[in-house]
Amino acid sequence: MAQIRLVNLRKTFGTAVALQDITLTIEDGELLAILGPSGCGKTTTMQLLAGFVVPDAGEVWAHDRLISSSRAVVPPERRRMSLVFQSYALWPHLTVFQNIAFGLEMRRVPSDQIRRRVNSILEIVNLVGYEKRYSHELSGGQQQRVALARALVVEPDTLLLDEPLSNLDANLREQMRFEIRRIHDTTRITTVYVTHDQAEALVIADRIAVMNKGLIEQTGTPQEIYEQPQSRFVASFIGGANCLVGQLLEPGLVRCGQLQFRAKDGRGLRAGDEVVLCIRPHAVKVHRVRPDPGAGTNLAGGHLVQHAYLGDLQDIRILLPGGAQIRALTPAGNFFQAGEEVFVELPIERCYLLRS
Amino acid sequence: MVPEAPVGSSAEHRFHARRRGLDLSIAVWVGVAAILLFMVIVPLAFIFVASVHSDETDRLTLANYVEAFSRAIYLQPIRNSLLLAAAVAVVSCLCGTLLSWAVSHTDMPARNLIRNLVFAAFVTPSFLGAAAWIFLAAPNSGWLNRAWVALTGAAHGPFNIYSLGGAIFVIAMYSYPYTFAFASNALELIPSEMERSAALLGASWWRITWRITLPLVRPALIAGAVLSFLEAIAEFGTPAFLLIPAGQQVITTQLYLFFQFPTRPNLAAAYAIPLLLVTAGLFVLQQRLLRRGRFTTVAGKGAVREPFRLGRWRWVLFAICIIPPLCSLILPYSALVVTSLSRAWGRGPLPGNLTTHWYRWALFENGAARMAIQHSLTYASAAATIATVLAIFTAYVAHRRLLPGARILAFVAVAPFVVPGIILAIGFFSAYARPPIVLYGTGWMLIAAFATRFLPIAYSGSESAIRSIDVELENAARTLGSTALRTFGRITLPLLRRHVLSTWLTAFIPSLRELSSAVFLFTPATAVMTNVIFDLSDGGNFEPVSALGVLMMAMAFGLIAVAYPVIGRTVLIHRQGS
Amino acid sequence: MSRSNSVDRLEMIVHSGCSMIRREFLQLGMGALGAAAFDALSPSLARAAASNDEEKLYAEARKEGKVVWWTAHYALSAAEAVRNAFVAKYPGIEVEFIRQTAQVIYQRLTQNLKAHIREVDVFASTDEAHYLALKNQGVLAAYTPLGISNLPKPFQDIDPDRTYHVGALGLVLINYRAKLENPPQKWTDLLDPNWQGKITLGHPGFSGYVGNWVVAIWDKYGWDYFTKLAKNKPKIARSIFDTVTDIVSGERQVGAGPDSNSLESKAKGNPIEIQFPTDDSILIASPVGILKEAPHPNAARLFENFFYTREYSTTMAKTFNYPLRSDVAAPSGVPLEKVKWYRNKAQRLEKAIPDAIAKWRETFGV
Repeated sequence: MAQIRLVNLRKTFGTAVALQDITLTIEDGELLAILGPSGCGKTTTMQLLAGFVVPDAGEVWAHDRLISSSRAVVPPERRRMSLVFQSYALWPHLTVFQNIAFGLEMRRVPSDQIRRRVNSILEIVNLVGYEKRYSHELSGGQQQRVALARALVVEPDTLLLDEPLSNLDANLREQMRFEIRRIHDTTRITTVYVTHDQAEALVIADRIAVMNKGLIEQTGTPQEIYEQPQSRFVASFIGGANCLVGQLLEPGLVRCGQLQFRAKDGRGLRAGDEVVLCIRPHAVKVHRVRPDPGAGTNLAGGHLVQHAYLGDLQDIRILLPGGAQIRALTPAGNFFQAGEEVFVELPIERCYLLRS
Repeated sequence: MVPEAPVGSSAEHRFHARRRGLDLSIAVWVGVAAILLFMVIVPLAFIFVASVHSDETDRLTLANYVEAFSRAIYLQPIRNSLLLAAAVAVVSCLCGTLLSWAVSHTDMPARNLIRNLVFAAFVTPSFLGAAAWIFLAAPNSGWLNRAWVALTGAAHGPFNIYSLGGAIFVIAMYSYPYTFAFASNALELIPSEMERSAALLGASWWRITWRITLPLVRPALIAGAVLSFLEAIAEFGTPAFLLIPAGQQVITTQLYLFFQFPTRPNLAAAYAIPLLLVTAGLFVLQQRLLRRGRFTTVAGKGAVREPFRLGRWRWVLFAICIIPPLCSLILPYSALVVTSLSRAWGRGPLPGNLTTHWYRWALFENGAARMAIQHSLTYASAAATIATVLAIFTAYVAHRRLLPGARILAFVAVAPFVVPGIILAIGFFSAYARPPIVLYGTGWMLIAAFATRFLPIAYSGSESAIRSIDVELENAARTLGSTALRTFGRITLPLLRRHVLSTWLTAFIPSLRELSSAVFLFTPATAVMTNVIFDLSDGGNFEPVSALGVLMMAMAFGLIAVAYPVIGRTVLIHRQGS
Repeated sequence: MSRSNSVDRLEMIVHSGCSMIRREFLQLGMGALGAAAFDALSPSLARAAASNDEEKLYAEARKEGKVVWWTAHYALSAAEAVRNAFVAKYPGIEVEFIRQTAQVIYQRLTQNLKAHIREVDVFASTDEAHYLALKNQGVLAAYTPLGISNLPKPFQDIDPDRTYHVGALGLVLINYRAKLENPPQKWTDLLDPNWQGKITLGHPGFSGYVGNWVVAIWDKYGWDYFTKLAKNKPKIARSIFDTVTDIVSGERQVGAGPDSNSLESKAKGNPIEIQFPTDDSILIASPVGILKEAPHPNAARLFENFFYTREYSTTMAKTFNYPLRSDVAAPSGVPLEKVKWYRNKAQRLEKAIPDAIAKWRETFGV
């Protein structure tokens, strides 16, 4: 079991900066998700953690041992970390049993113990009876579980999961999320989980680190990340918040073009600052008739430019005077059509401000 | 701050392991570099030095160059070589393109047969074809000409194989598989949507082919044509068989003559250098074209393609497409087999003229032939093994960037590709026939030369094999506690098994049929089959020549037949060109 | 007969070769008979000594197990017959041999010598000049074969230092396709435009026979002969034996070819004939010699001795070569002494052959 610390990691490939400056701590026994769009550097971070990549600067510590620096790197085979690859990387020339037993063989575990441990991990991942199959004889979900079993059977200090569910179909993916969480709850192995899927991260992780352009934008529990995004990127990446650029006129009042909105007062913002007003599409309400402007809300007229029917919900885009667009997800029932003039209501307690 | 020992291993053990890993890397680097130096750079350096040196005066001089490039009798071969190679490139480009298009894009009958025949032509060395075509199309005695005279009553047959045209024809019949391989590779990779969308826009198949398909594969076609050019200009056996009797010389036969009595090694070296520059330049050009070609055409993964329906024209197309295989395989092999079973080939395949004597002769009675068969098999095996091991190591180190300078290693490994066999042989001879290192007179001379010649083929095979293995398969093993070296042994090599076999075979087959460097490097005690074939061919011993040739090809095809289920045909043929 | 005497005789033969008439040859033949008669004076003694030496040599040679022989003397089939005859006479000794054209084996030998490779024991070229060069380098072993006295006297010691001896006799003459109307009678007939596209030749850069022929004709008629010959567009092969192949297959009609291979082919039923040119056949007395650094020196000597046995001459006759011994009949039915022949001097060959090759390449393009 180990606490992992990433300190000021930097890595460039040629001219491309993969990691600008990454500092991150993964607590002992924690399941941390690194969440970000493709190209944000999360895979590089993973490769660094596993010891395949040498950092340009910075350090990786496992507990109180330095395992990576720009000068030297403990090779992957001696970091006691297991990695589950996006492709699973099951060896096609070995059976399920041989795949899983490989790591134990490398550790010179006696063969009777190998058999016992492989069998018990096969039970955990529900694959008893598949020992002699080859990977191409397995379904995607089964392959995934073999990969997981192979990584877990060696009882690593740290488990690294690199987009482990991205090759599964939607149903299986949901199922496996809970499965991974369950396994983590029983083993309590320090786990780093890299994904670009926010739902996955929200369901699985104890904490989430949101990455963008080689930097960590925000770290926190799933709730913190969702409820209190610290940056425009986090706000829009998690839950796809609307972001209106404007200027703070006074605490809690923003001018966006011709319009003025009230919002929850942002920390440390001063009048005159360039700010972004964020509100999630779910929080936006749309009316055909101008509603009574209550005290707790902002109201603006707009032109409905796009409408999509999603079953329970309808996805609507409204063009506000001055050119800004607002996306709203409202319950189906009251049907809108493209071209209508509508009113949007932005509840003040759901509008929050971030520095631009 | 230096990383500490990770959990579960002592500092000492780690130190030891690190040291070992490091030393091994350096050992591999130095080892491979030394071998490549020995096999590629030293021989070429020797040629260069010899070209500016006079053995008589023991001084440096440019006189060799002056003599080599001022006398008409030495300039004519250069013109002939360029003409020959250019014509071969054009002919083989036409044949290769037509056949690959017919096979990949139409519903022509027997497409697989054509594919297999092209492949068989590819395995056959052109000097055997040249020998066979002497029986078929020697101006007066050739069977085709005699049949013509008998049928038409004409005074002369229409064919004269002892001519530049004859040599062009024969070499082209064995080099069009290169353009075929390149073109069919590219044609199959064209996303079928590109052609379908043209069809939807109302284009006829003819227009689609002309305006869409062929332009898309043009870089591959040119690259294939360049390769044919390189093959043709480096070819020795066929010109020796067909052009010397015609009183014509090409660069390679002229080089050979420089090494006959009275020898002119310095002049030969000077004469060889420009050829080397030409081939190197063309190779660079070809690589550029391929890179650009890949970028433009190999975007799609190909698709199940609905072939153009040719209706009754499909048999017409078949009749046209069978001509090259007919000329490169069916006729020549028939001629070789008939000759090998004849007491005297000039009398034709009459009952009283049939005998299995020459096979018994080759296999049992003639010590030299029997020894040559053994040498061919052992030397080619050894060379293929060396080339394969070297290629896989180099490709692994280069592709995984395991060592600094890995790219240079990769470059050196493919460099021999541009060196015509005869020039490599001259280099080997100048470097290793004299102390301090004397390989001449031992089998190693030929083994080293074959390994060097076919290292690039083995390398490109290994490189694409290693590229096909997802690095994650290795990384997975690393995270599970396997060292880099063990991972290579336990994961990478087992995954490469099939490729190792096919790489070995792609180096073995050309080693088995190699003539142009063997002819310089053997001594009678180390002669291989091709040497004996070449030796026998003068003095008119065409029956044993044919028997040995048939035996040699039976070995090659037998081996392929055994390996075919494991590796497939395309691997082999595509490998050679890439 | 003293050595200087015999050299003088030889010189005389060479000088008068082209105009030599049968009477003189007979005289020489009488000389040979005289020598034989001398042998007969002390028959038991000489024979006992010889067979004793031979036994000893055979025992030593058996220990070596094999002999390596490079030959340009005759066709592959003849060389194989020689090997078989030797192995039959001396079981336990293998003969490894290659047959190639003279210049090719010479080139390979010089390459080996430069690389200090000891591979060949017995070197049998058809170009006497090779032996002068090898002697100069000091790489030939002096040896007097047992039974050399069985040769006609003029051929007994062509090298006064005994580093090489005559190992085969052959002629370059005109060969032509059977049933040819008006076959050429003399070398100059080949210049007739009627033969355009119908002539086949070997190459002096490869074949020692062809080299000999070129030098002889050059000395007779000047280089102009070849300039004219080139206009008839001959097919140029490498070996002189290729002319036989070309004529037999119908590829060409006439050639400057060997007696032996042409006769062998004719005996097989092939349509080929020979013509002794009225302006002299070219006689090639092909030398054979042992290398100083021969890996199997005793086997080499035993093998060289074999050349002067009856078995060897019989084998020669069977394979349509002139026998070395006069007590075996010539296969052509025309004994050598009845042939009008010309032979080049070794000293002339040494200088002339490289020149001839160079001039040939200028003239014929290859």
